[in-house]
Amino acid sequence: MRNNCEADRTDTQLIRLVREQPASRVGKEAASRLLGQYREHVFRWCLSRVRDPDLALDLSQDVLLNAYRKLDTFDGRARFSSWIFAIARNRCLNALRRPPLLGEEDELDRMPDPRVGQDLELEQREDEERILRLIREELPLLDQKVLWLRCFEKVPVDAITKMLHITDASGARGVLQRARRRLKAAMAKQADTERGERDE
Amino acid sequence: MNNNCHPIEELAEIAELKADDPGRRHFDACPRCQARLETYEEFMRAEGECDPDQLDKAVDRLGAQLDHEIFGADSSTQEKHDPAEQNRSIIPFQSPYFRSALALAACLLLFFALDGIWDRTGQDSPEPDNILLRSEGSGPLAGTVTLDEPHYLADGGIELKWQPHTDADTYLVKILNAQLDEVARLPAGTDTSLRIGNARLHELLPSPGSYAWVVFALSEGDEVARSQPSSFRFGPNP
Repeated sequence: MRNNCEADRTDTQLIRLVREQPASRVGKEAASRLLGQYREHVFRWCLSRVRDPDLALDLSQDVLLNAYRKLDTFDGRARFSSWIFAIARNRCLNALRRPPLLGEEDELDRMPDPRVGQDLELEQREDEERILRLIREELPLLDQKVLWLRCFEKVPVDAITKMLHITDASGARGVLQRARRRLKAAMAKQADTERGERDE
Repeated sequence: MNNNCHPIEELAEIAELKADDPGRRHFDACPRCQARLETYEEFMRAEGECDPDQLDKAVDRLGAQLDHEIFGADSSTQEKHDPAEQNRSIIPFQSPYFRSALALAACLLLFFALDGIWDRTGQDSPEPDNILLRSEGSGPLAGTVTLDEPHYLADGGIELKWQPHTDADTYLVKILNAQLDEVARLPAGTDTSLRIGNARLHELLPSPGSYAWVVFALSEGDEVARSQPSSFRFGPNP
């Protein structure tokens, strides 16, 4: 694991070298070292998402090569580590199916494989806008976080348990079930209210 | 969880703002931003479960692919570590530390002798194979870089320091094994020191033992001066 401050300082120096001497041996060495430092981070992270070593390696390769090709677009406003993480995250999210917001976890296994990139942006879906509002208004903070991690960041359930230090025996799975029950109840209540308003 | 959500690239810095900083008001109230920050922190920890052999192979392969992309045809000249070769070099009845220290001392002696001969004759030598004797770039050398004693860190890492060189705009540190082959090169930017933590040393160096380090002073990528090699120890994991 890299110390964040040390990593940032080193990254900044390397980026400066890449920018100042992109075509020189030194610039290339700096680019190699800059991206090389993130090989393990990227591979481990991709593997933790897709759970398939071959696919994780393919994704990691895409991430690192893309990052190198787009290095000149890195504007230095954010940290380099955040920038490369954003590339890795987007690449993995595109390769994964989105778990259902309201269904059961097992449904994911029964769903057919979608084409890569088929996931629509959640915010584009009108009905899900309503669900998002309910999540925000009706669910406790932990439930919201777990739903976000599972459904939008596509983090595996066991990884969420570890990440959020959930100590209940059922871990994040239990929190997800509770969150979905609460969400369904809130939706039913809202539907009742809307029906009542229409009847009046 | 709305349009005020921060771009993922900014979350780490926002999370480090002081508790009363207005810049983090949204973050503190937004489970979505907090969840996304958790995933970034997980990425930085790099501790997801993984078979070590699988990880090593993946990291090597990614390194080779990256080097091929970056250096193109030159990438075949990048020196690679062969773990099998390293294992073969360990003789069970001899301390590896002693053996590598002895070899390093012999190589350093040879280097100084050759360097002295060339200095005395003033002849142009052909571009040698050994990394130590090869120039970085094409500029004429204007002096040497003076190294300080290496400082060993509490975590088993090391801090390397050297005196600034007037003509240099950046520095490059090379680490050499007992045979004086380059095993790592570390661009230091404009700094005149380089701190390498224990974990990083384990990533960079194939095995514990004695190594040498050399600093190259560069100006616009061309070498203007270099240090004499100096040795340092790298111990096993505590």
